[in-house]
Amino acid sequence: MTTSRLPRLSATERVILELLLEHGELFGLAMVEASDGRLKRGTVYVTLGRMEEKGFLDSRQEPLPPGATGLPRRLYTPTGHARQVLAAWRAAERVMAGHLSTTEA
Amino acid sequence: MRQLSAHALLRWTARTFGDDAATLVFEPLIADWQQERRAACSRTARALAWLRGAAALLCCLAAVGISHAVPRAEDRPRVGRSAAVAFAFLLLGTAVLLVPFLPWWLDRGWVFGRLAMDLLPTTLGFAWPLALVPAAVRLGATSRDARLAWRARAILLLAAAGTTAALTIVDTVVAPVAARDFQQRVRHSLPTVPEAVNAPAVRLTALSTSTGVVPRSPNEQRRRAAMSLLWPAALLVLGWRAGRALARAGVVVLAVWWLLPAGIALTFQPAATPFGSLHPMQFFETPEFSAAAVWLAIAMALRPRGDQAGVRAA
Repeated sequence: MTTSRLPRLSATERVILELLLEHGELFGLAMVEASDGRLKRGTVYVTLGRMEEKGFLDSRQEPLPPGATGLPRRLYTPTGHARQVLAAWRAAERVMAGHLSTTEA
Repeated sequence: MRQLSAHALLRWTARTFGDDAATLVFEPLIADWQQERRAACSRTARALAWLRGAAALLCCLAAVGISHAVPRAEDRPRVGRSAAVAFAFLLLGTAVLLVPFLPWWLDRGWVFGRLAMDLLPTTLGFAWPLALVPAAVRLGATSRDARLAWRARAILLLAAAGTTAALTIVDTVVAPVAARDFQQRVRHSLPTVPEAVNAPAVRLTALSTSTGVVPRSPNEQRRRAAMSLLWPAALLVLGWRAGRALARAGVVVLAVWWLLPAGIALTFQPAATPFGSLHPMQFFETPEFSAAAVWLAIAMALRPRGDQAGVRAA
């Protein structure tokens, strides 16, 4: 398998996945508020759209209460694929950290 | 944000960036923006929520716009072919515009040939906006992808901005200086020795346009400028419609249509007024014409097609 075929996970995507795993279903603005400044409102929607295209997220529209107006918010959940990718990257990080500590020692 | 303007904004983003971007990026943003404003308890909080949402929207527009402007691998052949069309028509247009000077060149030796070659920058500047139109027609006729249309529009915008800036500099800086020099030289007869022909002032003269050469009253200047903006606009709209209807054949029709009047207009000028032919573009008011043609080409040619305009029901 070549490096280019590995699913990539940017730092922002990782923050989003970790937030969703921690809090469950969230909408974009809630993620920004829960991220302690790690996510910016101007870019989070672009990242969410990209993650949905990559198959990392599923989304559904929040049902509007009767008589409510406006667009329904979109709630996001991580897919199984995203959980696997995140787990793989965490495992790779652990291996790399262990290798570096062995080398430095 | 009112419901109507939210839907209008969504429709616009779908037309500009495609349905996917509208649904995946802008619809959640606007929905969160609306909910945040609705939840705000005071007028100040609502104003702040509006400002934060507007800032986020601008950031998203910039981010999506930039990502759409970068050609993807699968789009490159189409963009490349359109660039080739533009380049081919640029060469063709330049050649047609220079053909009337060929007899002069052959007749009167290399001095006048050199003067004709000095016209090259002007003819290139004149032919470039004309060449953009067939390229835009080709893209518009073959492209059904809103992403590609947006990207091509960005490329054309860049080209147009460069062309217009260059022509504006020529018209406002180079032309008046060269016109004074030209008039002085005409009074004292034209240069006949190679050293004089190579003088920078003569080359500047070749770049100049008629606006500074022939003294006119301000009213006449304004009238000519208005006319030079109006008639290309009408031709361009008609040409664009024809090009869209005829698809690839329309490119050829449009090119002939544009180059024929240019060739005819320039052919009689050297014969009519030999000295005046140093400024053959005066018939066309080059800068205004070019600016009008380029900007209209952008506005008309790459408007995303109607079947791209739908937005998924929110």
